[in-house]
Amino acid sequence: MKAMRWLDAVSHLGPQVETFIDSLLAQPHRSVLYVAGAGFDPRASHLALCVAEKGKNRRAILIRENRPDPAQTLLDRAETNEKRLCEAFPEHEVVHIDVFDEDHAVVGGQKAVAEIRRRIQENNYLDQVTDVIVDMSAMSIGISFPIVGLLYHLLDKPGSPNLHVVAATGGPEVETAIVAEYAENYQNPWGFKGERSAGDSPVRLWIPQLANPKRKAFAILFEELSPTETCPVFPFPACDPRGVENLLDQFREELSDAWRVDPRQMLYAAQDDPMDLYRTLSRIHCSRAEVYDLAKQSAETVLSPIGSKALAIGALLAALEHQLPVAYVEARRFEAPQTGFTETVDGGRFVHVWVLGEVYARLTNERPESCPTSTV
Amino acid sequence: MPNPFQQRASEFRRNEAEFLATLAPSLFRMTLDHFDDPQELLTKTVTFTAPPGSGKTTLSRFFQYATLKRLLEQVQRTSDETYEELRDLAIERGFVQDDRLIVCGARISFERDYRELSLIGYTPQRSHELMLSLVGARAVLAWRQAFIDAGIDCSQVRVIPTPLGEARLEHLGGTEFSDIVERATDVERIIYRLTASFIPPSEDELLQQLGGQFYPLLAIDGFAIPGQEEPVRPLLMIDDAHWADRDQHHALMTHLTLREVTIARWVLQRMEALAPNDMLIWGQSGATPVIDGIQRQRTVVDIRMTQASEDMRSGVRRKFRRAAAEIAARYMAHIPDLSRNGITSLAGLEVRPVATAKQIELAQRLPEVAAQNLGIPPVQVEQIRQRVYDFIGKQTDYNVETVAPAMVSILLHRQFKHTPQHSLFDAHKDESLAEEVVVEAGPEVAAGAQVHLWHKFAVPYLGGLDVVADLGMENVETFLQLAWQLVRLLETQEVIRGDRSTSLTVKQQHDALMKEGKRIMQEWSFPHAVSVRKLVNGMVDLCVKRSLEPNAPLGGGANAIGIEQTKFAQILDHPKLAEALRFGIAYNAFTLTPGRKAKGKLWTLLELGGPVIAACGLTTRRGGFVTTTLEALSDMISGATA
Repeated sequence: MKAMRWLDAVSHLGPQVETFIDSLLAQPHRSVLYVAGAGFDPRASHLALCVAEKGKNRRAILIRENRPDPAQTLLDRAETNEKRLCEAFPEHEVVHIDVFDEDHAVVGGQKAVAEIRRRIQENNYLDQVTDVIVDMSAMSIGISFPIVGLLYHLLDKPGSPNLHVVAATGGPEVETAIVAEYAENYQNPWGFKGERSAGDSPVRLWIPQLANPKRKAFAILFEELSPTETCPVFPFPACDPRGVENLLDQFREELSDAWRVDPRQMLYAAQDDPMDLYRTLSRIHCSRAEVYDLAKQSAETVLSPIGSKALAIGALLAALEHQLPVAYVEARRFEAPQTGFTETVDGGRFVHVWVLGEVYARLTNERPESCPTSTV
Repeated sequence: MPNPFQQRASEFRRNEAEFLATLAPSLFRMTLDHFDDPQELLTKTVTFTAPPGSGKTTLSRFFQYATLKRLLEQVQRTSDETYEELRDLAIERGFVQDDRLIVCGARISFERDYRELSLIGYTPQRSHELMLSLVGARAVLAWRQAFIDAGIDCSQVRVIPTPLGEARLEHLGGTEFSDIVERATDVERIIYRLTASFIPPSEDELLQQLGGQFYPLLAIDGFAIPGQEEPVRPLLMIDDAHWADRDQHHALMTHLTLREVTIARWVLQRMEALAPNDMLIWGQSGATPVIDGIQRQRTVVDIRMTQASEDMRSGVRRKFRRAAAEIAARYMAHIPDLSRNGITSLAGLEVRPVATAKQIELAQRLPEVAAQNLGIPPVQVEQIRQRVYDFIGKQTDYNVETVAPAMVSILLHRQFKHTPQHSLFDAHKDESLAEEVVVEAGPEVAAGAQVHLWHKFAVPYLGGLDVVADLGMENVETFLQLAWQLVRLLETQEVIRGDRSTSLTVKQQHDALMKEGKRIMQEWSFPHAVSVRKLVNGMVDLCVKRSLEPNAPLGGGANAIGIEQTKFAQILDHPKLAEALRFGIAYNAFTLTPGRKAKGKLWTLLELGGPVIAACGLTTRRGGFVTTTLEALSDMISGATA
């Protein structure tokens, strides 16, 4: 088995995240570029306020994801969140991203990449910046993955600022509360298509992270990806001891009929620990790639991190390292949950991963050999 | 083999034999039989436009080289008549001659990568060049795969250039197919990486990597393959062309209709590929051609797979019933639990409902109440009753105990409408002078009675294979979704409960179809689904209200709304409504039929889709519509009346 890039990554969970941010930003030379979503999501400002409190030199790029015909209540919430974030980061820029084009194509990821790339390459947004922190809490993966992917490509060289990814994950009770209508087809976040075109008939392994209210999205993904094998990820250990049972019940038709999942194909990843899933995905992909490489067969591992944000970060790291395609279904329309949003901040559900930078100085210079690429 | 009812055609990709085993030739004939000359579809650019599930991908899959090759083998190996029927179709359409394939069909999907090329930030001209080069590269790779799948050594294949294509062919790599494949592989890899890059190269840098445009469609006329004297004609099938944006689509169509292109080329797309005017007022004077500057009639064959004209609709429905029966039977043959027990088709589904004692009691009160309320003389009541029973006595599909009294009630109301009303001051009426009975009993009254009975007393009426096929609205996927609910009930009866019944009651069928219809409607999530749902709800309200009028003026009732055609031509003045209609039609929420003659005028009809009809208890009979206006429809979307 080849070495994993983030096998010994610096990461923090729960209250440790705030402690880490405090200690990092207590260093007087730190200057932060904070990239975060400024939408209606209740998690939009939790971590941003922590950073704002300690970071003396700070600047923010705030992303507003615009979708067609938004509900007024959500617009109002987004305005409030945006205002709060703008106050926390006096030096800021709000970037409006239309997630859908006029012809209903999903274009948000590419637009976000173009906007961030322009600011970095042409407007020197990284001058004097020591740490770039991407807060994925309130961004959809169609926007957050391309942004992190772009920054990863720009900053993966010695002397670049550090790249951190953080999220207030909230857990299912928050993340499953938002009802969405989905785009009709699946999408790859911009830049996450895999290294090569898979061709017509790859031996495709699909690894979806299960989340209940997103059944429709899983149905679209399965139908269009037409995977050879499916290995669903269950969040376990999890806060809710019956979480796995509930998912088994909710997805019983898919698991037993359409997807034909054998219990031995079920994967488990600690609910709030992205590194656990990252290691699992890397191990599976590398072992599989080695075998198919020997057989000279085309094989592909597709990730669908549409469950919790913490696990999405794990999938993001695996996709970045192994150039794995990521498939998701973009939300066309959100609606406020009937029971209202959960407003409480749960510091126990924060996640931080130090993706690139000074703590990996040796690895940046001498990167370990990775396993074969996604498509063999 | 996985359950075919739950799979879309595109999923049968790993096994040609399995794919062929589920095909119904009559389905293809519904589309292709309108074209007597097969060469028309092999020399012009052909566009197939239809909602999802209409069989576009199945069609393209069938005409692929490897599939037809396998078909010819199956004809030799087995005595299955369906294979012979399919082979005959391939001969008729000019793909097979003397038991040899003379057309090499290959399919590429226009998904994702192409659309993304327009987002990179290059000039439109450059991004179109890249798009067309990617089409060319993937076409070559698709033909290579077709040869490999058919067991043909690609290194032995030579390319025959178009009359002016020799020089171009040199630029592509030469006349050896394998050399062109090599270049196509490079081009495909470079452009694919471009669509996945965070930091794209400059246009100059990219051009240098690519070595110029890659347009094999302008240079290739045919393939000379080993062991076959005459060359094979390439056919490129571009599926999912609706993914292209408007400019890309235009560029693609322009490229395909260039004089230099001599290969056969088919473009398959969903209806959202069409501009609103091209979809909503198709064929009318207000519509403009999609392809400006191209002599559309001479170079393009525009096939709307589900937009049959008014005069052809009944014929299409009959053909679809046949195709649906064939498909269901072929799919059921692949469900072991059913085939093992001899349940091989849905033809035995019950069509005559059984009513409960309570329902019968309630239904039988209807004539009495109507006669009393309307003051119809007993003589007339008896005559009407006689006419109803004369009619229904010859029928086998109705539940006489409920339908007959409901029909009598409807006819009493009709008779009342035809009877001159007496003055309030008439002292008394002479029953001996009662007007003649002018109403007749017939199938349309019976259909109206069924809808009344459903809404009043929940007496089911949706039963039988033809009804399920009609609810499919010429869309295979919709039919399969509905039919699967009945098949799974049969399977449950057989396997779980051990029943020996090979049928289902009308109540079982109606309940299952209604539930599935509701589920399908709930799951709509296409663009403008919210507006479409409001529109459908508004239309349903109008139709139900009209259908339940006591005299059932439209017979079975309404399942459509009609707008005067001259007024509907102004649809583009209502952009929000036009978008909702465009997507509602594109995703089978309703179908659009222009040119309906009624009341001395021409009408454009919006007919509700089968799942809506099943969910809301409307008639499956075509023709009944409620007149309305574009303004009223706009109000439904804005919520003014919804």
